[in-house]
Amino acid sequence: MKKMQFICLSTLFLFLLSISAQVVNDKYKQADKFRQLDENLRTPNAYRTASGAPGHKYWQQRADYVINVEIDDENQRLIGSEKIAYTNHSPDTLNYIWVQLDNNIFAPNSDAVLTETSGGLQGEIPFALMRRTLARQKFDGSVKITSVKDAFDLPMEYHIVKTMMRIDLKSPLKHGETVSFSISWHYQINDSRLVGGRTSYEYFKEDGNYIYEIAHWYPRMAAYTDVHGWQHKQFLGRGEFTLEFGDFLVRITAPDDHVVASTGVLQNAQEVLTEKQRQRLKEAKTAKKPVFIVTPEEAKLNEKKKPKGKKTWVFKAENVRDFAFATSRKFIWDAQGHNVQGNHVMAMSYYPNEGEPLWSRYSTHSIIHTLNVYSRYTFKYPYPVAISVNGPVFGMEYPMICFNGPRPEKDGTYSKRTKYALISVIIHEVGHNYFPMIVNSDERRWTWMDEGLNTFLQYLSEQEWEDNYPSRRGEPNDITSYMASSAQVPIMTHSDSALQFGPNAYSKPATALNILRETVMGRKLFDKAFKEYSQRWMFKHPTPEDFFRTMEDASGIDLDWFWRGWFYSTDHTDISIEDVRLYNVNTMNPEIEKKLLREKRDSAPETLSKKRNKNLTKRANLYPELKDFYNSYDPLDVTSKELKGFEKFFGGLTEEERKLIETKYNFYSVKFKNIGGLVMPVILQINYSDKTSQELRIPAEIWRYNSEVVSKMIITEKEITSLVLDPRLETADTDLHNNHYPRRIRESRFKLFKRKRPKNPMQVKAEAEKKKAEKKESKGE
Amino acid sequence: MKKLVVILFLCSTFLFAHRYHFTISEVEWNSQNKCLEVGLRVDSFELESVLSKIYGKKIDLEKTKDVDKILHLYLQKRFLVKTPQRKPCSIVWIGKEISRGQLWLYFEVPVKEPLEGLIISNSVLFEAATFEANSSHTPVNIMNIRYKQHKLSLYFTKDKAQRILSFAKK
Repeated sequence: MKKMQFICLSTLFLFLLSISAQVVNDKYKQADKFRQLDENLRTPNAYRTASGAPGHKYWQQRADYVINVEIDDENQRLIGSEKIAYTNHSPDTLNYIWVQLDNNIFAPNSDAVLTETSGGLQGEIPFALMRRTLARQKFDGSVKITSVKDAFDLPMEYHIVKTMMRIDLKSPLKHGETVSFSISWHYQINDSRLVGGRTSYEYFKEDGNYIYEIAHWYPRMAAYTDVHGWQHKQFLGRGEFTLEFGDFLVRITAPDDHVVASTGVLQNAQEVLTEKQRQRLKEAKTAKKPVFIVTPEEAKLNEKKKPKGKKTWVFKAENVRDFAFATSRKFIWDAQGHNVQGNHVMAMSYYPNEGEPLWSRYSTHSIIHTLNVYSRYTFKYPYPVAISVNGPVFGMEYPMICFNGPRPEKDGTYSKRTKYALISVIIHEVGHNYFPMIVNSDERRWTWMDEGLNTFLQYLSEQEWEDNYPSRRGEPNDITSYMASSAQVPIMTHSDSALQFGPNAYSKPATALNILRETVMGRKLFDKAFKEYSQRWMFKHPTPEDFFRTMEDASGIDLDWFWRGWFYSTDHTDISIEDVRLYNVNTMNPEIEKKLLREKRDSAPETLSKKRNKNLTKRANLYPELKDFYNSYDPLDVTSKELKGFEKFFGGLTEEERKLIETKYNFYSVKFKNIGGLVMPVILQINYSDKTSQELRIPAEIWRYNSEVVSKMIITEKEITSLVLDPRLETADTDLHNNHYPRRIRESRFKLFKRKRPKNPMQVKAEAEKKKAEKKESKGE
Repeated sequence: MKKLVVILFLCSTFLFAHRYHFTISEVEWNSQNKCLEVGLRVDSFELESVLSKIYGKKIDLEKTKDVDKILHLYLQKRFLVKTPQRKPCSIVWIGKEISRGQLWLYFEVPVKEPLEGLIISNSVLFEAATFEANSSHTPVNIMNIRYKQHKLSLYFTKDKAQRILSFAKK
C-alpha cells in the first residue's frame, strides 16, 4: 500500500474541443503514422541501393551534340541541324530511340491546348484574354522536321507522337555502342505577348528590336533510365524535363550586330568580339565588381544599328543535360570572374537598357551570391560560367544560363517589390544549376524534387543576402493557410496532376525541408545528409526514394513518419493543448493534508443562497438541545488515531522514501490533441510564476502509440502560469489559438489590419487642410 | 468599368514559369457587424499584370491613382456572394496591404444569417493562366471560412467556380 504515494488532489483546468478522428485501422481506429515506407518505396537493387546511393551497377546513357542554328531576325524563325551521338550504357538492347520535341506544345492542336479547361469567368471575358486565347489556337510554332538521317546520310524512319519522336534504328543498339544520326528542322518562334512559354521573343516597339530567349529548341534525346525506361511522357506545359548528360558544340548564327549569351564557353571570341570587348572580358576575370563588356551607352547605340550580315558564335559546353541561349542587339553585358571553392567562374548578365539601373546593380551580384551559398550546401559549382539574362521569360532555368524577367519602371524607378522579386528570381534560377541541371531529377515526373529543394536553398541564400530579407517561401508560418485548406494533393503527386502547383511543389516541400533542418534533425545532421544526397547524385538521375533514403542513411534518424506525413499525405499540423491538470504529492501526514483540504474548503465561494440565508433565524439556534456531536464534529480535524497511523506509516519508510514524500514537486499533466493529423515534435514553452521560462522539445515519436491524444507530465517545484505550444512558429501549426494555456483569443489578419488601418485619402486631405489652416493662423500672429 | 473589355496590350508579358495562379482567402463571420470579413492574398505582380491587361495600361498597385477603386471593381466582378435566393451581396472595401510581394485585399460582405446556403464564387486571377503561361497552370483559389465553431475550407477552380456554403456535419 505504501507504493500509492500519489493521490490526485485537485484538477485545476479542463478544456474540451470537438473531435475529428481519422479511422484507418479497423480495430485500433487509428492511422499508423509511423508505419515504415517500405511498401511505398521501390525495392533496392544493384542500380540503386537501400541506403539511397547509386548502386555498383548504376548506369546512365550519354548524348553528345554538334548543332548549327540560325536565328532569322527578319521572320523570327529558328533553323537548325544537329548531329547526335547517343551511347547506350544500359544493359539493354535498343531497337528505337526517343527524342523530345517540346516545341510541339506550340502546335495549335497540341494536347496542352486541347486539354485546357474553361469556365469560371462567368460570361465576362476581357478583350485581351480573348485575343490571347485566339492567338494560341492559331499560332503554329511546332517543329518542322526536314530530315532525319543516319551516319551515312541515309534517311531513317521516324514517327512523331505529339511532343515526342521515335526514331527506328536500322540495327539494334547494344550495350556500350554508340549511334550517330542527324536531324534538320525549323520552326516559328513564339511572340511572348501572345503565346507565352519558357522560350519566346520579345518585341520592342520603340526601337523595333527583338530579344530572343531560346530554349527546348533542338530535338533532345529523351532520358532512358533503370527505373522508368524511356521518359517519353508528353509535354503538357508543366512537368518540365529531364535529359541525358553530354557535351555540346553549338554554332549560333545571328545578325552581326547581336550579342549572344549561351550555355557553355565562347570558342571564337577573336571572330565575334571587338578587341575592346575582349580586353574588358580579360579585366573582368579578376575584377572585384562587375565590369561592362557592352556598356549601356553602347547597347543604346546598337539599338539603332542595322545589321550588315551574319556572325556565327561558337560555344562549347561539357557535361550538361541541356543547352539554351539568348540573342539581341539590345544587350548590355557585364561580367565578373569569381572563385567558387577553387573553380574560376565567369558570372555574367545580359539585359537591355529597359532593365536599368536594377540589373547592373543586382544581377551579377545575385549570381555570385547564389554560387557561394549553394556550393556550401551541396558541391562546388562545376561549370565555367553562370549567366542571367533579362527578357520576356519571367524565370526559367537551363545549364549555366537562366532567363529572368523583372524590370524597373520606364522612368528607371522601381518598387521594393520589384527589387526583391529580381534578386529572388535570379537566386532561384541560378540555383537550378544544382537541382535539376546537375542533380538530374526528373521534373516531368516530380516537380518538387528540384523546385522544392531549390526553393529551400533559395530561402537559405536570401537570408544570407541581408538581414530580414523578405523571403516569400521558407518560413513555416507562411504555408499554414494552404496546409489547412481542402484543395490539396500530396507532394508525391505527378507534376501534371498537382493541384495548386506553387504551394504543392515549391512552398510546401521547401518549408518541409526547413522544418526538417531546424526542428526535426538539427542543422548539423541535416546539412551533412543534404550534402551527401547532392554529392551522391550529382550528374546522375535520382528518384524520390534516393532522396528519402539518403537523408536517413547519413543522419541516422528514422524519417519515415516525416516523409509519410509531409510528402505522402495532406495532413497538416494543428496540435492543441487540451487540458492541464495539477497533481501534488500526498505526504500522508494528516496534519499537512487535512490542513490543505480545510484551506480548500474555506476558500470555496459562499453561494448566493447561503449568503442570503445567513441572517435567517435558525431553529437549532432557538432550541440548543437540538445540537449534538455532529454539530461540532469536523471531519477535517486531525484525530490521534490518524496521527498514530501516520507515525507508523512514516516509521516504516526508508530514508529515501521519506525524502521523496517530503518533496514539494508539482506534477502537471498536459494533454495534447493532434487535430491536423500530422505528427510533429511537441515544442512547449513553460512559463513559471517566478517569471522564468523553459523550453521543452519533445520528438514526434511521442505520438507513436497514439497519434491522436497524448499526455506529458511536467514535474517542477515551481508553479506554472502559462504554456505556449510552438512559441517560435516552427511547425506550421495552422491554428494558434489552441496553442496557449490559458487559451487566447485568435485575431484574424483582417482584424489586425482594420485596427491599424491607414487613414483614407479624404481623411488625409482633411488633416492636411487642418494643418495648413493652423500654419496660417500661427503666421498671422 | 461596366464591362471588362479592353483594347490593347501595352506592357510586355512576363511569363513566370513558377507563378502561382492562386489566391488564399481567410473569411470570418463577424456576428456583431453581421458581415463576412475577408482577407484575400494574391501575388501582387500577377494581379498587376492581369489588371494591366484588362485596362490596357500599366496598373501599379503602389502608384496608380485610384488603384483601390480598380481593385474594388475587380473584386465585384470576381468575388461574388449571393444569398440562397440568389440576391447579390455588396462588397465593402476596407483596404489593402503589400507584404513580401504579396497583396492582401481586405473587404467586408454584409450578409444575413443563417449562412447556410450562401452562394460564393471566386474567380480572382482566373485570367492569369491564359494570359501568362501556355495553359500549364490550373488556377485554384482556396478559401478558409470560420463561422462560429465551424471551420470550412473550399476551393474554386475554373470548372468549379461556384460553391454553396454548408455547415451541416457530414
